Amino acid sequence: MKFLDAFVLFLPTLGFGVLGVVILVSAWMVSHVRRITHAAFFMVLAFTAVAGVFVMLGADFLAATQVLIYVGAIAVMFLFAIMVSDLKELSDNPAGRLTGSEASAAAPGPAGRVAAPWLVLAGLVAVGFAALVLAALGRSGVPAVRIAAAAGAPTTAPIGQALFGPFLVPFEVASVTLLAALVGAIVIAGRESAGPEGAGPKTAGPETAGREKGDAA
Amino acid sequence: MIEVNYAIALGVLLFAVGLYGALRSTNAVRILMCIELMLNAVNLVFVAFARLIAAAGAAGAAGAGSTAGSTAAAGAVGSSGALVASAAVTGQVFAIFVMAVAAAEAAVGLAVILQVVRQRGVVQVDKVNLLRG
Repeated sequence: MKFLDAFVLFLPTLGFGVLGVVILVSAWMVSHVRRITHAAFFMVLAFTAVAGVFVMLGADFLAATQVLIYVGAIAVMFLFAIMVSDLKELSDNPAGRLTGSEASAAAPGPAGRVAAPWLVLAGLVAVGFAALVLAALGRSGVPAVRIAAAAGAPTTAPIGQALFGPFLVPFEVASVTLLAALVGAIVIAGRESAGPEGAGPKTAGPETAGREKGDAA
Repeated sequence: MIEVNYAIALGVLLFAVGLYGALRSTNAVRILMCIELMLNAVNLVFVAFARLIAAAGAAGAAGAGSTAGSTAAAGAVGSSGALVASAAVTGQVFAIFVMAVAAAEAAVGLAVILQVVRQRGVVQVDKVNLLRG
C-alpha cells in the first residue's frame, strides 16, 4: 500500500517526463528525418504531447482546441499540401535529381547531420528566452505551483466570457484575419499556373532542367 | 514533484529545437512545420503562466476571503474574484489567438509554397531567388 501511494504520487512526474521527452524528441525529428511525410507525422506527435501537457496544466478547453486545430486541421493541411505536390521534389534530399557538383553545392546540410552554427544560435536564443522568462517570474513574484496539485475547474466558461467580454475586439479581428487568410490562400493556391511557365523572363537556373511533370497540375 | 516552472522550461526548450530546425532546414515545408512548433512552444509558456497566475489569484482570493469577514467587504471580494477569474484565463485566450494566427499563417504559407513548387519546381528556399534582380 505504501508503495502504491508513492507510485500514485509519482504518476504526474512520470507523465510529465514522458510527455516532455516525446515533445522534444519528436520536435527534433521534425527537422532530421529524411522524408517530409514522416516529419509531418512527428509534428503531429509533438502537437498531441503538447495537448497532454495542456491537460496537466489544467487547460482542458485549450487541450481540446489543440487537438482539433493543430492535429485535425493544420497537420492535415500539411499532409494534403505534401500529397498534391511531387513528393520527390519535396524531400530534403533529392537523391535522384541532383548530380555531381550540383549536389555538392545544393544543400548545406542533408537531413540527419547537425548544423553546429545554427545549433549554437538556437541555444543562445533559448538562453535569452529563459532569462526573459526568469526575469518575468522574478518580477511577478508568484509562488511556485505544482502541476496537477488540485483538480482545476473547467475553463470553458471563463474563456468564453473572456472572449466575448474584454477580448471582443481582438476576437473579431482574429476572425477577420482568418477569413482574409482563407481567401488569400484560395486565391494564391488556386491560380492555375498563371505565371510564366514558358514565356516569361525566367532566370536560367539548373533547377528546372530535369523536370517534365508537374506542369499539368 | 513537478512544478509549473518545468513546463515553462519545456516550452523554452521546444522553442529552441523549433528554431534550430527552422534555421537548418532548406525545405520550405519543413521550415513551416518548425515555425508551427515554435508557436506551440509559445502557447505552452502562455498556458503555464496562466496556471501560475490562476493559482496566485486563487490564493489571494482565499486569503482575502478569510481575512475580510464583514459584509461590507464581501462585494469587494466578489468583484476582485471576478477580475481574478478573468485574469486567470488571459493566457489561455492569448494561446487561442496564437492558434488562429498559426492557422492563417500555415494556410497562406502552404499556398505560397504550392505555387512556387508549381511554377519553379523547387521547394528549397535557397534556390528561389525571384527578387534577386
